[in-house]
Amino acid sequence: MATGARNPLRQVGTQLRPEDTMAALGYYIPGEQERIDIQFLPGLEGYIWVFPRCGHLSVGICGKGQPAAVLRKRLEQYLNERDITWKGAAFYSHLLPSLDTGSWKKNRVAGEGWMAVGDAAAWWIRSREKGCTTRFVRPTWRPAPCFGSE
Amino acid sequence: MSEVAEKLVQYRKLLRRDFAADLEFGSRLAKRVFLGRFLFGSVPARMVQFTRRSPRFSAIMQDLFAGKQPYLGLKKRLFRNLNGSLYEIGMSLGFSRLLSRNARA
Repeated sequence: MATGARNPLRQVGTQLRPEDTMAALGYYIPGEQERIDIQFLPGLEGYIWVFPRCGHLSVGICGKGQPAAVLRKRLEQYLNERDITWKGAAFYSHLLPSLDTGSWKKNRVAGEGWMAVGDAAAWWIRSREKGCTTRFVRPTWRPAPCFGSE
Repeated sequence: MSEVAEKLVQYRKLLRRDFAADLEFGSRLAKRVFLGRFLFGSVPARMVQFTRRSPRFSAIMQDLFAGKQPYLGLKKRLFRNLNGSLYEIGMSLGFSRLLSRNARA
């Protein structure tokens, strides 16, 4: 089963508690750049990213223990400070699994007649904002991160 | 133990060996990395400074974000590169001071 993190089936897959999740949201903004930007923010267990994609930038923020509205405001402030026009851009928002250490021990990944994969099993690499399936693909493109910290 | 239960245990072991142990360890690191303090500053701020000043440290960060560096071996690699990284940071600091002194003169 691959239902994503918002699993409507109660009997199968990872049982996510609020502290085992984080919000991720952002905008697809027309534009180009050849690097990725990562911005850490004070007191945020997460970060802002600017990833170049084909014909647009995926700009987003993720953070654990922060309401989505607060994250959105922080992201928009970041974009305004850098004169990046986000108004009118396509908005996206996801719930991501981000298990606390204790929750890994009892992570429900399989049972009789089923197994969970992807977000439904909480397989998520925090430092890359990617599901673990990408881990099996050796990247040929080596991104050069441009780190920022306030 | 039933056959299904045995298979489940085996499956969990395989997952753990493959990547679940790494993710679990990463969850332990996360709070310290994002909210921790190191040398009188936040850990992210120090990470950024070290990345700017040390090519070795920068390579580790690149591998971490590219998924080539597992969380489990991170500490070992950081320690293995510690002397080299500190040397590069020291040299970079000394060199930039020298440059600014020359510019003032």
